[in-house]
Parts: sequence; C-alpha cells; structure tokens
Amino acid sequence: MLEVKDLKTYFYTRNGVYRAVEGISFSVKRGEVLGIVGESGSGKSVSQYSLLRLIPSPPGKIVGGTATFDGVDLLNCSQAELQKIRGKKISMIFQDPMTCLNPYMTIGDQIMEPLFIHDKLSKEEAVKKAKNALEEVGIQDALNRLKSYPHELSGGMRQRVMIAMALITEPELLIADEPTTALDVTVQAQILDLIKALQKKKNTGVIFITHDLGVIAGIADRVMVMYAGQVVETAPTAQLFEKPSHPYTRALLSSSPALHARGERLKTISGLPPDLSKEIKGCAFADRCPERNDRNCGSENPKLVELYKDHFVANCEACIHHSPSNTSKA
Amino acid sequence: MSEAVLTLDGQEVEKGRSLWQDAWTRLSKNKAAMLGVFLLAAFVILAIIAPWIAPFSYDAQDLNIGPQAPSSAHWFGTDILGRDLYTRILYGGRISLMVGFLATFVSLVIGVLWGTIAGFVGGRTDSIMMRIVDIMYAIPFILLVILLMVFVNTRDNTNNLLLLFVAIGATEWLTMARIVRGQVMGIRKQEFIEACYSMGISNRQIIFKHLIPNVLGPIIVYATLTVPTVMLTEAFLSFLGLGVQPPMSSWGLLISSGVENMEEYPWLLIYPGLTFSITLFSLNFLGDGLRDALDPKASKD
Amino acid sequence: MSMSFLEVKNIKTHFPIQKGSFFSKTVATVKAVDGVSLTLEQGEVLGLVGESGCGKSTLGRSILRLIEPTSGEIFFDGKEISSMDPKALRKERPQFQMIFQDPYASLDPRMTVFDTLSEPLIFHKIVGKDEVENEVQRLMKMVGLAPRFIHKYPHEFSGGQRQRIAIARALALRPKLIIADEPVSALDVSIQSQILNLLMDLRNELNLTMIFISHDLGVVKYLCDRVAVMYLGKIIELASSDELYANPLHPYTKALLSAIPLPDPQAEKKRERIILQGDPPSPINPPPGCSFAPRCPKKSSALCETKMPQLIEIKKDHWVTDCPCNVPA
Repeated sequence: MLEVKDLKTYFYTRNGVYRAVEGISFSVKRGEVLGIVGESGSGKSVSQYSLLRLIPSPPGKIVGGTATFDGVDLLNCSQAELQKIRGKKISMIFQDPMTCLNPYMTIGDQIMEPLFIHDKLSKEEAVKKAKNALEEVGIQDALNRLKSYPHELSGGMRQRVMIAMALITEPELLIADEPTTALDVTVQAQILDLIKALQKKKNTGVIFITHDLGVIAGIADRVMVMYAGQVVETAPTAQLFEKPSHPYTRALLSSSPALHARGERLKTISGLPPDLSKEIKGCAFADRCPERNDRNCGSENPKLVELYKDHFVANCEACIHHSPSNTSKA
Repeated sequence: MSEAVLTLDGQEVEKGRSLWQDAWTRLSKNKAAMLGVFLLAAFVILAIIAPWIAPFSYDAQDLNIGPQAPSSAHWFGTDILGRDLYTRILYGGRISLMVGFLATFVSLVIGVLWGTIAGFVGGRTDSIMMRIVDIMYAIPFILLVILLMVFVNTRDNTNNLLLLFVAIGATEWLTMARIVRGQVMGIRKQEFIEACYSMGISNRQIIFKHLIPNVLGPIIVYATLTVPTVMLTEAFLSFLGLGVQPPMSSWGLLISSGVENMEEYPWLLIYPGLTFSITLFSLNFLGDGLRDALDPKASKD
Repeated sequence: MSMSFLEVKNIKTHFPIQKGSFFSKTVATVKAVDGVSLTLEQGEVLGLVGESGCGKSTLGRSILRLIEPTSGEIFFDGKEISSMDPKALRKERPQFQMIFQDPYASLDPRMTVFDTLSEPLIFHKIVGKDEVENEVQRLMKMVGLAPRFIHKYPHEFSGGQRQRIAIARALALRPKLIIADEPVSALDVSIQSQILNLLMDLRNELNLTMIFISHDLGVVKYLCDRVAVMYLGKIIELASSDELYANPLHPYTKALLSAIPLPDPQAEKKRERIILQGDPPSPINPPPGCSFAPRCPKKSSALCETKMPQLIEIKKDHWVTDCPCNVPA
C-alpha cells in the first residue's frame, strides 16, 4: 500500500545543513501496524511529516526519494492530488491534543470539516456521521458533545476527538505521531486499546511513532528502529524483542528500568546523539556503540541487509557477528 | 559552538557564548538596524560636538542677509532672521536628542520600578498599582503636558527643558510599567526562580540578579522605540509653542517655522524635516532589529 | 518512639478559586493535597506516584514550603518547619533541596554554570571566597560534567547535561533531603538511564534521603525503597517497593500497574489489562466519600460514596484505604 524508498529530508539552517532524514526506506501493507521507534533527533517524526509534505518549507526540504501510495508518488505529485489524499486516504493524529484542536471551533465543526471537504456530505448526513464517530471512540452523550469546545474536554477526550476526526473519512492509512506520550498511563491504556480495536475493525494501516518500547510491543506488527535519521533495524515485533541485532536496539532494550532489579546499575548508552548538521562519516552510532570493533565503523555507512526472514539490520560486524543467535546472550 | 580557550589552574576551559553575544551577532547581520546604529551614532556625535564645529552661533542674526537659499557660506541656507540653518539644526539636534534620551530614561526608571514591584509582589498591591496606571492612562496626555507647561512656564530655558523632560517622561512610563509587569509575572513563574526560593536566596537578590536581567530584552526594545515617540512629542509641543522657546532651537521649532514659510523658502522645511525623519527611521530600524535579535524563540534554533 | 527524619502530619494544600479582580470572592477550592501524612527515615528513598491532578508535585512543594500548606505539620530532623517564620526558614533551607522536572526552565539562561553553582555557595557561605571555584569544580565532577564547561551557558548544553547542572546545584548546599520532581520525565530514554544511575550513585555516596516523584512506575520501582500511590490529593496505598508491585491491594494501584506497557510482546499479548472508565478527575470539589468511587471497577456498596476511607496498616508496613474491597471481611 505504501512504499517509501530512500527518503531524504534536510533542514537548511543558519548553522548548517541539518540532515534530519538521511535515506530511509520502508513499506506498510494494508491493515498492518508499523511501529517507528527512536529518540528525539532520530528523524522519526520528520520522516512521516515528509510523506504528507507537511515540513515547513524554508528551512526544510525533501531532498530525495519516493513515496508511492496506491500508485501516487506523494513526494512529487501535484498539490491538488495531495489535497485529495490528505485527510481522506491518509490521516494523521498528533502528540499534543491541547494544541492540535482549534480552540475557536466546536469539536463538531472540526470533526465534520473533512466530511464537507472530501465527501461533500450534507449537514444532516455529516452530523449523523460525526455523532457515530464520537460514539465509536467512546464518548458518551455524543450529540451534545458536538457542541462543546476543546477547552471543555479533558486530555484523554481531546485525543479521542482527534482519533474520531482522523478516522471519520475511513482512511486507508493512519499516521499517529506519539499520540499517547502526553497522556496519563491509565488514559494511555484506554487510547491504545481504542486504536487497536478501531484498526482491526476498519482494517486501517497504521504508522505508530513513539519512543516507548513498551507501547510498541503492545500495538505494532512490525517495528522500525531509527537513529540519527536512518533506519538501523526493522523486524516483526516479536522477532525484534527476541533477537535484537543492532547494538542500538539492544542498548535501548537493556536500559529500560523495568528490566532491572532494584539497586542494579542500569546499562546506559554513553555519550550523546550526534550533531546532524555535520556530515557523519561511516556509521552514525559508532561513537557510542558498546560493541564497536573498529573494522569498518568509521569509513562506510553500513547498509541494511536481511539477517533473518523479514528482519533487516545494518550490515556491520557488531550486528551480524555478535547477534544473539551467534553468541551467547549477554 | 565553543570559543577561545582560557585557563583554569592549568586546565583548558571553554568560553561560553552568552545570549547577549548571540543577540549581538544576530543584530550585526541586520543591515537596516546597523545602518540605523551608524546614522544615530553619527548624529549624536555631531550634536555633542556642535559648539566646536558650528560655523556660526545659533542666535547670530544677520538681518541684512535674510532668508537665503543654501550656498557655500551657509550649507543649509539661512532663516528669516538670517541665522545659519545648519548651525540651528546642529543645536536643535542637541535639544531634541537630549529630550528624547533623557525623557525615555526617566520613564524607564519609573516604569521598571513600578512594573517590577507590581509584578513581583502581586495580589492586592499589584491590583492597586495597575489601577493607578489605568486611571492615568485615561487622562488625555497632551492635555496634561500642556497644562503642566502652561502653568509652570518660565522664561528660563533650563527650567523649561527640565520641565519638558519631566512632563514627557512622567507620561511615557505607563506603558513601560505595563510591559515590565507582564514580563516579570511571566518570569516569576519559571522554575529557576522557584529554585532560588528553594535555596533560600533573598527576594532582593532574586529581583536584581535573576528577574531584571531576564526582562531586560523587551525593556531595551521598548525603550529604543520610545525615543522617537518622545522626540515627536517634543516636536509637537514646540510646534504649538509650548516647548523650547526661541532663540533656542529644536527640530520641532525649526519644522514649525519651516512650515510657515514652506512655499517661499522650502529649504527651511526640507533640511530640518529630513534630519528629523532620518533620526526617527534610524531609531525604528534599530528598535525592530533589537526586537528580532533579542527574541528568545530565535535563540533556540 | 523517636521521631523519624521527616514527618509530615495531615498536610492540606487548598487553592481558592476567586472571582473578581479587586474585591474577590472564593467560589470553589482546588484541594490539591487533601490530608497526607507520611514519615521517612534517613537514607530512605520514597517514591510518590500518581497521575495528573493527584497532587504529588504540590505535595513535594508543600513539604518544602515552596507552596504554603493550608494546614498540617512538617517536622524535619526534629525541628518543626511548618510554622517557622520566613527568616528562620531561609536559614534551614540548605538542608532540604529540590530537583525540578524541566531542565530547560530550571536554570537561569543568563548565568553560566559557575554563576549558577556559586550563587548558593556564596549566599549561604558554605565555603570561603577563595574556595568557591574549587568547590564548583568538585560539584561538576560529582555529577559527571567536565570542569572545562564551567563558563558555558545553559543553552549550550543538552537536556541531560542541564539536568546534571540542576542536580549539582541541589547538592551545593549539602542537603540531607532531596525532593526530585519528575527529574527524568523530560529526557530521552537513553539519557534517563544515565541520570538515574547518577542519582543512585549519589544517594549511596552521600547517604541522601530522597522523595522521588514520578508518573513512571517502572522508574519508581527501580529506584525507591517504599512507594506511595496518590489519587486526588490523598495517599491511597503505601508499601515497600517490592510488596506494592507484587501484591497491590487498592483497585487503582492494580489498574495503574496493569496499564504500564512492558517491552515484551508475549507478555503484552497475554496480560489482562484493567481499563478504568473515565478520566483522572479534577481536584476541584471532589466527590464526597471515596474519591475513587466513580471509576472503581469493584465498587460494591453505597458506603463507597458516603464514607471517607482512612489509611490502615493491613499488613506489616503495607497501608491501604479501608474500603470493603481492599479489606477482606
């Protein structure tokens, strides 16, 4: 359904060229949930915003790559074609529900807006659909709620409204950018369940961006790990957690406090993420890699190879030869 | 990002770049603002050294010549009473610029003190202090200044000038107080101020070492943009005959008499008008440039 | 019985909501902290968990009197802190310090590392004037910051490094108690573990007593000896870390624990989640009786809505509210 090849997005700033996304490729099948995991600066959000060309154009620029969705190249198609797809075939939900809803419009108006633009429904039909949409996301008293303003709702409810807004046009792909990060943990559980249920029901493809490995474990079918604007590992979820092959993935997993006993020192990743405004020679993770053996790390940037079935990893010594299947588990 | 290296017991230490340095870098790249700085500096210097460079005395009349168009003897021409316009513009600049900067300074001091106390103490004190500001805002300012000038008018030019500073400064501080109060209230809620409290730092130190340096940005911008307002006010008052009295000159007075004689002797309006406009433009460009340079959001990219 | 190192007795912090700017009238009250008592022994780390609106941050600040509690008593190392006058309190402040959540907002952007760290040292005369520079370097090394950054400004550091500066500042006054208000929540995952290790090392080296406030139960379990769970201004369960995670008694605690996402897909598939209905409530005019009743999956009797539950020690060192669901008959 969605096939992205070699996407590159750079930001041209006063301090240099910031290479936010440096050539990533991935695909999403119909009805599949792809999880994208990474920390700040990994390029996970920028890459998805690039798909819908939502990058502010100075200073950002999509420098290369293609993104084919149902035959249309999103990165190079006309504005008119893009408008037809945005909000109708591909929808997006964002992290902060407080700033993503227009405080001056009722939520009813906001939910119905895509219906008027894309499906050209009449007012009565739109209201009916909006009411159903709210009920589907678990908001009681939906008809009256349509008249409320965003500030009258709690964070969890606002996020549900956003989900309703995104799914009301029955899109084929939903991009969710850290939708639960700003929410309390019990509300997060509710929202994740909701997304899972709706996704199954409507067979929507989902790209789920987060930094939380626990959330990914619960919701994603496949996982893509990003670091410094590149993909370092991608695999089916169970496979990724069972056989994490890239040192960064392994380090991320092992630094979670949940997996340590009280008082035991946490395994950390020393150092800081690299400065993306400077050209990086070789592997971007080399400086911090705990398993570095200096063969090729500094000279060439390792490409992804298929290590196991459907499990791709950067082609470096640390990944291939030190992966758990070849050595005893650390 | 790291700069020149100092030493600290034999170890090498990296020098930091303060936000002020960042702001200066941004400002120096703004061509309009730097032009403004240059022109302003030039005018200020000329105004200061006026007594030494003026070819004539500002009140030296020569009724025989009368109004004359610009010539090599009189670069900007002469006025009705034969006084050299160039000299009068120089001396006029002294008055106008002095009033501009000094009155702004007065309003700055009062406004910052008032606004800081209101913003920091909050509660009822804040309500009372700001209601006073609101009430004073309601009084038509020009009326106030005119009344002041009329009732305390004296022939003595120095007293007159002083009164002018005070009158204008005492009315401009209101907006400054509001701006400062808003800024102080915003900063006061920040965690680093809370951290000071938790360390037991005294209120006095918090205000002077933390609060004021952090609100200085908008204050500087606003002060820079107040100067032209003040100069215009002085010009207006002088135009009405309530400001500086002849034979002393200010740009406002010069423009006023220039307007009267606009058709026959246009240079009497053109030169003072140009000088005044250029000064105002310079200040505005500088103020805009400062606002962009000191914008905290810009410093995060 | 001798007094504990820190004793907090029935703290209430209420904020009146006022209408009208000049002659204001109280129309409602936000009961951010509504009757909390706890004790802490020296060297102990207590975790305070809860969701937004539960009052954990307000409680932390109330204990330090950064926000004045409306009523209640606080005893620190034998002295009564709650009714001290501001001048005397200021002298005591070095002994209890706070680490704040946002590393970007908790440092003065116009001061260098040296300025920030030396300010408390100079103000409280912790060391002599000629010793200040050495002491600042010592503090920097203690938190893992290279001394050569001593003259840099906060915006020249990353989030994790700024938090280290904030920790160094908290330690400058050689406090005995540190309250950390979500110190790692604003940091990336890989940096979080660095800072958590640092806090653990410092606690061991300096024998610090800590209150660790967080919404992240995984982190709290790892770092804390005892954990208190807060809901709507009250503590609803209190037990040792291991005990709480192994045998949670209160339905809210159980729901909270079951909601934590685990980085293990098999476990995620198998787990039975307790999903609470509704959202965390607002502390303005809470419902009478048990404040959790509207969302409680095990609400049984009408008693839940009328009787205010009290904390009782149901097992040794395991406290929970005494509603019928928690207390076996």
